[in-house]
Amino acid sequence: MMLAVCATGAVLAVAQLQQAAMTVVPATAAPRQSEALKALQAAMQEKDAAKRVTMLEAFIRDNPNSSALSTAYSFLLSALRTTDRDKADKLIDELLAKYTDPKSPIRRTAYSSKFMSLAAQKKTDEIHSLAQKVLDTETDPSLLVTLAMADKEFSAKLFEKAIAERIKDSNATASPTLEDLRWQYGQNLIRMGRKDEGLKLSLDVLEASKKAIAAAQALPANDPQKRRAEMLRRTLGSRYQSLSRVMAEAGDYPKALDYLDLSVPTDPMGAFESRPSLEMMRADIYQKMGKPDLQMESYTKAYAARMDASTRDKITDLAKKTGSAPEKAFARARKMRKNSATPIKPFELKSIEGKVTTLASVKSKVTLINFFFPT
Amino acid sequence: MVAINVNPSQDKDIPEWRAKNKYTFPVLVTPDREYARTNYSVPGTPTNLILNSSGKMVFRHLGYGPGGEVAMEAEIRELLGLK
Repeated sequence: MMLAVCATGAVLAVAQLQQAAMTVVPATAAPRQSEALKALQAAMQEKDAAKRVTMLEAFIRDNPNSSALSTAYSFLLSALRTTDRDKADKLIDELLAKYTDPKSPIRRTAYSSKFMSLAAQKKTDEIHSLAQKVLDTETDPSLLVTLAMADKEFSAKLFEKAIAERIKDSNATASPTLEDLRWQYGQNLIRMGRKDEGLKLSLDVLEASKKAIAAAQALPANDPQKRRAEMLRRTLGSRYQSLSRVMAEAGDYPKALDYLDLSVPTDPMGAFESRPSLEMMRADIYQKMGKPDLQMESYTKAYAARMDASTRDKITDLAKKTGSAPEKAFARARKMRKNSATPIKPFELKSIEGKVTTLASVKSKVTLINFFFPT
Repeated sequence: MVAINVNPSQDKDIPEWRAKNKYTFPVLVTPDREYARTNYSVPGTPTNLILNSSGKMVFRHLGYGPGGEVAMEAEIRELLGLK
C-alpha cells in the first residue's frame, strides 16, 4: 500500500498522458481551458514532426487567447525548423510584426527562434546583426537575457542591458529579478572562460541575497518582499552547489567543499532533507582528491539519510577496492540513523471523516507521513 | 501511514481520488495552505517523513527521485527490522 502511494505521481502522470492522447477536442465548441491544455500537451508530445505541426496549429487556431500560446508557438517554430524552414521564418516575421509589446512572451519566443534558426544555418554575421538590433531596440530583460544566451559575442552587452533595464523598472514582483539576472550573467561569464569575474559577481549576488533574506525576516508573511526573500532562500543552496561544481572542475577542492558547506539550508528540516544529496556531492569531491576514507564516510552519511540502492552499490564497490567490509559502513549508517532521529512538532488534525488523529496516536508504530494534494 | 492534504481547497476531491486509486489509508486535512509550510517546512509535494516506532523522524524526502520508492521501501523495512 505504501509503495502504491510513493508511485502515485508517476502513475498519475502516465494516466494523464494517456487521457490527453485520447481526448478529442471538438473543433466547433470552444474547449474548456483544461481540455485545451491537454490537447496542447498531446501535441507537444507527438513524435511525428509533421503531425506535431498540424496539432499545434490547431491549438493556436482554437485558443487564440490561451496563456500557453507562447509555449505553443515555441514548439511550433521548433518543429517547423525541421520540416519547413521558410514557413518558420515567415511565421517569425509575422509574430514580430503582430506582437509589438516589448514584454510579450511571444515576441521573445519569435526572437529566440530566429536566433536558433540562424545558428543552425551557421549564419554568424546575421546573428550578430540581429543581436545588435535587439540591443538597440528591445528593453525587456527576459528577452535580452534569452538572446544573451544565444549569441556569445554579444552576451555580455545584452546581459548588461538587461540588468540596466531591470534597475530602471524594478519592483518586488518583476521577473526575472535583478538577483536572477546578475546570477545568470555571472554563470555566463564562468562558462565563457572569464571565471574570476564570474565567480566574483556570483558571490556578490549570494551575499546580497543573504542580506535581503535577513532584512525581510521581520516583515509579515504576505509582504511581497518577504515572498521574494523566501524564493531567494530556496535558490541559495543550489547556487552555492553550482559554485562548488565550478571549483571542483577547476581542481580547487577545499573551496568546492566550502561552498557545499554554505549550501546547507539554514532551517533544520531543510538541512535534514538535503543531507543525502549533499553527502553524495562531497563523496565525489573526496574521490577526486583521492581520499577514499572520507569518500566512504560521506557515502555512509548519505546512506544513513536515504537508503538508495545506488548508494548501497557505491559503498560495496568502494569497500571492495579498499579491501574493507561494506557491512561495517552499513552498521555505521544504522548507528547514525539512530543518533540523528529527530522529534517532530506534534499535530492534531481531522481526517476527512472527521476523526481526530494526533502524532501521539501513531507514535508507537513506524509511520509514513505523506504530504500531498489530490491530483 | 497517514496522508496529509496540504491544500484545503482540494479537500472535496479526496473521496473520489481515494476511491479511484483504491487507497485505504487515513487522509488528514489541514486548516489552511500555509499549515504544512509553517509547521513542517514543507516546500512542496510530495514530502515524505518516515518516523520510527518512537515517533521520531528518521527519513525525510522531498519529491520523486529515480529509485525513490525502492529507497523508501528499504527504509520502512529497516525501521520495522525486516530484511
